[in-house]
Amino acid sequence: MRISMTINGSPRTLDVDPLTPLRDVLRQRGLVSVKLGCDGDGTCGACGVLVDGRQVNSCLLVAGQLEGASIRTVEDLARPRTLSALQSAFVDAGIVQCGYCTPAMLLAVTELLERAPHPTREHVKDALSGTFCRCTGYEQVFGAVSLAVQRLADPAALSEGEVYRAEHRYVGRDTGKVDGATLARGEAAFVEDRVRPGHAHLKILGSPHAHAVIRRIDTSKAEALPGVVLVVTHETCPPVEYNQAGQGFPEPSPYDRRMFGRKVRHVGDRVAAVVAETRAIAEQALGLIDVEYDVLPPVLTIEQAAAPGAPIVHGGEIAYVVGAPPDLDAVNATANPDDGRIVYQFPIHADPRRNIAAHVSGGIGDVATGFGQAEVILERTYSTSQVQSTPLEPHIVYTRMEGDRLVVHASTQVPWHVRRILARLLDVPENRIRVVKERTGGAFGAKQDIVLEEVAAWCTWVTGRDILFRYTREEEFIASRTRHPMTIGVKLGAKRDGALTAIEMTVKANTGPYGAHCLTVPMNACSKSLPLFLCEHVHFDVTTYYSNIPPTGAYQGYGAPQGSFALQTAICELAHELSLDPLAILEKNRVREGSMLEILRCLGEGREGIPQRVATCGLGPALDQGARLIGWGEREPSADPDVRIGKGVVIVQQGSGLPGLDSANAALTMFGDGTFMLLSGGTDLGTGLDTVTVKMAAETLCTPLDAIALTAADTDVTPFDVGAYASSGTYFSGGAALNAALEMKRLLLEVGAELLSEPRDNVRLEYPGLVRGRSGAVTYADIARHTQSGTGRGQLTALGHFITDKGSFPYGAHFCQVAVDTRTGVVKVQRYYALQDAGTPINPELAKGQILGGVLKTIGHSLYEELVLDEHGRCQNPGFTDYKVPQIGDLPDDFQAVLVDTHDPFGPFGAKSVSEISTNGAAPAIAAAIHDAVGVWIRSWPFTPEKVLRALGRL
Amino acid sequence: MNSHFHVARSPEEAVRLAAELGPAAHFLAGGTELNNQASTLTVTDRILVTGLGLHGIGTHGADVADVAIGATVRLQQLVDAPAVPEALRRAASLVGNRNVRNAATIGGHIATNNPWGDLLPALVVLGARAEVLRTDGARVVPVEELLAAGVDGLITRVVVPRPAPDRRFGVEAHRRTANDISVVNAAVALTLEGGAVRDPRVAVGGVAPNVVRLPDLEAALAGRPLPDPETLARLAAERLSPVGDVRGSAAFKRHVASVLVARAARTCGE
Repeated sequence: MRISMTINGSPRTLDVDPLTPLRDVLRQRGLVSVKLGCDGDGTCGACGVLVDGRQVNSCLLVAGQLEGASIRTVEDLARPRTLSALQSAFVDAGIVQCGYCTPAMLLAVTELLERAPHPTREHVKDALSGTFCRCTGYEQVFGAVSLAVQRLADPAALSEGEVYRAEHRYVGRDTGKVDGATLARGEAAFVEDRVRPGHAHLKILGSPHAHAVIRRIDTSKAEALPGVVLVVTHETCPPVEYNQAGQGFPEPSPYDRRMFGRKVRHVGDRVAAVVAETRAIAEQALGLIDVEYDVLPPVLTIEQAAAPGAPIVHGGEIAYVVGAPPDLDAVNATANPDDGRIVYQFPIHADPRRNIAAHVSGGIGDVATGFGQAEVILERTYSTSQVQSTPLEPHIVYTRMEGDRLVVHASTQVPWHVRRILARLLDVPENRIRVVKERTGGAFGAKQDIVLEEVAAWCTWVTGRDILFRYTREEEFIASRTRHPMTIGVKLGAKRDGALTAIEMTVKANTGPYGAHCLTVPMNACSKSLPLFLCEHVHFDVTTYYSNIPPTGAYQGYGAPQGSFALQTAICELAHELSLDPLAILEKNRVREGSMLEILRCLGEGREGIPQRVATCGLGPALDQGARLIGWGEREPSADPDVRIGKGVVIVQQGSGLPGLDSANAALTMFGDGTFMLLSGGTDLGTGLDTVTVKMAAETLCTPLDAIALTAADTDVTPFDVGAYASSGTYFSGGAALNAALEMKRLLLEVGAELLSEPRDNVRLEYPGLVRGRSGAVTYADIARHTQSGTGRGQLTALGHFITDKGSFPYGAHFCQVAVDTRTGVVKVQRYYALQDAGTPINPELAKGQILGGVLKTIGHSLYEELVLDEHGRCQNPGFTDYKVPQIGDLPDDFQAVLVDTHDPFGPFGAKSVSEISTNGAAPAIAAAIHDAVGVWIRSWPFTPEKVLRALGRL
Repeated sequence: MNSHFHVARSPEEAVRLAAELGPAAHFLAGGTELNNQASTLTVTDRILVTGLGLHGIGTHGADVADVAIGATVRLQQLVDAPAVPEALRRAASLVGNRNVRNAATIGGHIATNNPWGDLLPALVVLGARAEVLRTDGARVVPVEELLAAGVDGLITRVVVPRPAPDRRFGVEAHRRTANDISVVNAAVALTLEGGAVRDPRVAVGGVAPNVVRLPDLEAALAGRPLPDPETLARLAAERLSPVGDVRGSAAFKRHVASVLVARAARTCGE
């Protein structure tokens, strides 16, 4: 059908199937700013475009509807290498993180400004009401819109950011985002933008059963279908056990799976892969695969997994690389050959025959003594739902051959772990594989694992074809990574004045079908919550169970949100029991500068940990400032008699990477004109890490920011980095960039002194790119020409490496105020203040964006989010229609991230981490505020209206 | 799935095509339902009905008090149109996603007849009528009847009687998050005359496959002062028997729907 429409001002007549979604029409014409984050059900808004001036979801329009229409995409907002007032305001206000929703947001605001040139907060919320953003927490968009309005009147209007380090040119103040312009223009940057014509598609046949053995599988009909390139099953995949967790080798996660197994362990588990010329053919072929299952009873909960006689999820042979237990042969004598095999790199105290994936316990002092000293003992149990991080860009990979080498375009947090694991599965040296981390459209921990890369890589290796493998939103829910559901018992002993005498935490976690992060996530529930309190007698016990729920893994916070929910709520309950102000009990027991954290000795990740002395701690000022902000102790009146208002406060912490485990590297090379290329191993997930590393280099080298070009996270080009997880980015990857810059500085001073014929001690670096001595100065361009000439010492190249045995802990206090509707049970967060000590904030606005985004995500699991499974383990809500995520309309009316200034002695420029800690406060703070409002404790998240009504005895 | 696309040149041609193509042919306007990958509809044919002049908002016939809304008027247009009765504008604004309001149409909203359709209870208590065109001619049907029986034909216009100045309305919805389909929703219309309720209408969505009127409750309310919200909610709850699902248990839906009815009535009393 011929359809005439105007696209970005150009009249076009297209010969197109009238049923083609508008989104595809636009992308096929190179307008790659148009994204897709749902399954074409209009629930994410990432495909938003302007049709006749109105923001609509282009996935819900088909070409036939658009005769005579005028379509506008972000590509129309600015010319190449420029930004419109609105785009520059978005970048400067810090609202661009991963950038995947940015084009849709920009268009929605474009529409808004055309009908309301001076919009209110409510106008902005309404304009963006259909656009889902998981990264930013939205709050900074209001500032972005105000700034855009100013810039439309006065293009020179500046954003007024806070300055934390007046002595620095870039560090501690806002400088935009190095990838901000590209993302705001919606340019090709993501994996899906890299595909070449003629590529093949990969689809997975997922198990319809939560627990079953594949008795027989016949792929012949699928293989005979024209257009099918390859079918892979457990019979044809590499016979190699591995774990998909992107952790440093040797991993604590057990090698308990193959690429495809004879046994399927969750609904959606891999049964077969089909590679075909088109997605439609691949989907058709899936239906032609004939599978006969022996269906087994599923295990869904911790109670079911732990019950005597429970079905066993992993009943196969067990092997240990080191540390095999003495009874291993006896255990293996009962191995079920259907059940695959588990290889442990070292013991994690698993007992798969009892569905125990991992176990650890430890402590300091003697809790029996501590409870003996107590005047009051409080015992409570808390539980958490299974939640998904829902990166707007689902898991995606594009694999292709270049000569005899495999190239992997990945949306990953761990390019080097991907390379290592692929090399093992393909049985090739690592130098046969290149992993290129593209811009990621949100990662949040779910992309710390090799969720789909290895299947595409194997299929490309076998067929030589370019292959695109993109998860659907449904697959993202049922077959990627989720937060571990946990049940956590907390027992507190205290004196009447609130002084803690003993703390006991008993964590039971559900890892689901495989053991990715099965030791370390549940352990982190203790590691990131217990050290907040100074208590002599502390004990923890952590058990993780296998089951047949959707897979779990890493999600921003990594177990700490669950542990924090349990321990912080228990502390609030203790305060209530003792009729003490929660703030007073926190103040009495909290960690402070100089505290020695002995507990960390028994909280290493599968090895002995390192006790640490707390070097800096912003908790004191955070609590003071937060209490003033929220009017702590003042009761807020409610205009509506059905609505009660309450307040809550909790304290939070995290780490900054893994001392003794993590490692980062960077390199700087000087170009012929005195500019530089920074090669960073750091993996920016939209968090702003690339901006951090560039700023550290420019600050150190006294150059303009744009004198530092960046290439990052490409295993062929940049040096090794473990990846972006465990809050390591700024601290480790930033530290490596700083060390590379310091080495380059040393070289520049050495060569500059030589050219100036002055002693080394007489020269210093000077902005913008000079070495100045007493007799004069040479420019970096002079140095470049000299060193790169026929008589020079060679191109200046500096390497930087960062490891540490020091832990730097960010701390924070979260305050909130909620309104509880006692008739509907609805909880509305009215005010939320996250006050956090991030050491030196390298980019204040980007740091705040990390905080706001982390808080909103976890307001999500506090109030709304929960994967619901039926009794067969089938997910009842694998999409945004019924898995509800908070969006702009759910924001607290007053939502603030406050940076409490400290200067860390170990982190680069005094920085600590900022992102993950933000996820630890919402659940306990809201639980405490609900109690303050209506007098009931809700001890399982999410705090749904139904649970609130039941607690109130109204249902 | 193979499916066909047709552009109708007149409403009459649209209904003739639909009759020829059979029950899995659907009229396409905004596309938020029909083009939705999550839709459970079976669709063999889409018949485009935008561009047929069904997009105006005006008065109706000789009775200038009635508001006539073309079937392809978009929900956001309703929100923005001062000529549209306030209760309907408010109901349209309950659709919490502007991208959807910018595309979805009132005719499509009625024809789709989703249990969570936010305009539906309001249209019922407003006494709205729809003009439905079929090959055997046009007829005017109360929206309430249309929802109960299912739409057979092309909705061309929705006629909303202009409420009397003393007629009062309340419209409520429970959504899990701001951008959500409603779990349950409710609308109440009544007139207060000397402190007593006259001609009450109560409609609730999300508690049955279609919007339900609560005639027993209406009878209990008529002729007396408005009961307090708690009593009213109890009276409403007795008449509701929703089915539980992933969006809420039966008990929760029943409870919240009854609270929404009470709140909508309270709004009328204010």
